[in-house]
Amino acid sequence: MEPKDYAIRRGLWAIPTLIGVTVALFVLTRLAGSPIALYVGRFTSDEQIAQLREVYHLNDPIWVQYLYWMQGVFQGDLGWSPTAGTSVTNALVQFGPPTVELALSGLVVALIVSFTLGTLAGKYQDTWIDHVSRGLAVGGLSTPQFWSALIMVWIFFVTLGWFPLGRATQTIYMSIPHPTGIYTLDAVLATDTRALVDALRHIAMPALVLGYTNAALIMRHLRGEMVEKKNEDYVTAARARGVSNDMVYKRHVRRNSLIPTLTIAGLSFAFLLRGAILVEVVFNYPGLGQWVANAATGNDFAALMGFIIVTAIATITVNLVVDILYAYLDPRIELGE
Amino acid sequence: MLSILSVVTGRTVDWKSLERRWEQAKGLLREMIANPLTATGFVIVASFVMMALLAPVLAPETGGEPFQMPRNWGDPLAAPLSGEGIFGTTSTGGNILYGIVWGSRLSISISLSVVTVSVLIGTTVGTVAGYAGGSVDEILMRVVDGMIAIPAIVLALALVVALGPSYFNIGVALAVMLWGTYARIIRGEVMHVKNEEYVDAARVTGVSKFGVVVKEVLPNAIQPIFIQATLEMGSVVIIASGLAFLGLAEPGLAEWGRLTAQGQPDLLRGLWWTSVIPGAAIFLWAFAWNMIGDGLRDVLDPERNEG
Repeated sequence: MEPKDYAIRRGLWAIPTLIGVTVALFVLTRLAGSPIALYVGRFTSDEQIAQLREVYHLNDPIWVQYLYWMQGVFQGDLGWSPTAGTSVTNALVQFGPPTVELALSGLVVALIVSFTLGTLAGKYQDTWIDHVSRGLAVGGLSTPQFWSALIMVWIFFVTLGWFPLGRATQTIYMSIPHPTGIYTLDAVLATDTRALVDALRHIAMPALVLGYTNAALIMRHLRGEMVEKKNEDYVTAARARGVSNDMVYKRHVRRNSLIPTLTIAGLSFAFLLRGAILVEVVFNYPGLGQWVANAATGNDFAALMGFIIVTAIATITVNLVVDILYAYLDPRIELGE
Repeated sequence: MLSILSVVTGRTVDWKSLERRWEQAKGLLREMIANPLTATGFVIVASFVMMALLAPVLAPETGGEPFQMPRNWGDPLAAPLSGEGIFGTTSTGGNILYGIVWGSRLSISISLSVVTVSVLIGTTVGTVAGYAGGSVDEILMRVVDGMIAIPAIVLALALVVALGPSYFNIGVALAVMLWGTYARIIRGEVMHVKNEEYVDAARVTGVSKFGVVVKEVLPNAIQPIFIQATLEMGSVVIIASGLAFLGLAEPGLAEWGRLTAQGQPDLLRGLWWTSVIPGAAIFLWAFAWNMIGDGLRDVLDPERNEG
């Protein structure tokens, strides 16, 4: 199957999946109780409540309510989020860029750490480097991110005072324009060193915590691939041609190991989003994660639904891109088989 | 290991083969323990199990609900080793050792029950999909794809809110969300195994479809599930305590994630233990299971040594 056709097919399959998820959640949230409670205050009269029920179609059967909700979604109206104090769409626009920034920074950390350690561990299999990297990897997968985040806060914020919490120093943040909403990028675009340093100081700790877990995931995979690829015929052939050891690893072993590792790196994107919730809460980082955590304790279902839709679309898109990239890099792969 | 299912489902008890399987299991275990890291994992898990069993002795109940942290206004925020209990006390004077000990009961039960339920659901769905094939397979696997596409913690979060925040509901949400991986693994294995000659042989000799699946296909396909389940014993507690950390379990619950969250304001004032110590329990539990899972994979599947 051509990559383009495959992409279209996969993309189409995602639609029923998303509909299924939203239906399930919609029904569940309605089972949990009428959303009317969000609008009712102490002094709302019975007539006002009746009016609200009418306005929000709460007297209609549940499937009609769902269709109204769907209609809103297609018009970009995901409802009102009390925890954000604004519409869900606005909240997504406001909190999206910080989380994208955090996830990308985490990915950069993860890729640097995992490629370095994974390559070394694969090359020097069963030596101390391999053992240390294995320990680091298993440690990373076993560490609850909110715990490692708290330890970092304790050491680097409370005790040493090296890194701040939050996302920005307000005065510095306000001093530059924000065309992208991604602080680091905005600082670079404004060629403002002070803002860039401020951005990096704020993102360093959360990115490290997020990145480490993902590095653990990718590193062991890369190592495994390298160990396997080491004994392939083409490696022996390269050695026979007199290619130096370093070159054999760089050009032949690692390059071929990176292709399957890509899938894992793509999957780890979901991991980054998942981690963002807890990490943002601990570091008081105002992104999607913190908003959703507040929404969860505040019974803010519109926010939860909005977040789930965005997460699902993002994850499905990333996986799709990874699959296509995979087929492009390795022509032997038949998509859709 | 792989004998459990066939032992349970076998119609006649064949003592000879049972004995042989017991010997096999013992051999596997011996091989695993030879790896020092795996042995460490077993020791840690065993310690937590002992702790849970001996909870009333190690940390006597103070009256009232045993899974609620005790309060003691006379002794708040005592440093480790200085006040009551070796781990110090929380801001409400609760003995942190008490929380770790009773929390181990919660962690053990949530990981056992979530893993058991999701393995059962996942194995059933995956086997049906893999063995039936065709449109049944297509539909079931699309459902699984959809579930795996969205991070489990996100769906679980929404589900817990919908069901009402409580530790029990965290367990329910995770059991509902985590079976997808098992389904996908077992489907692949079943598709691989179902065309083996011995399966054909059983089919030809007139064994029913159900019989073929249970007696021939499953026992030969189940192995990777054990590895995944072992690894998941730890990650269930990581996710569950994460949700509890966010405030989706009962307030004051003697649960590791809940305790970590309650200690956060103290940690910001430099009083690290109220938060760091309960978190360490989560780490140790997950680390131990990862070590055991790693060891199990090395023994069962030596070729795929990815750690």
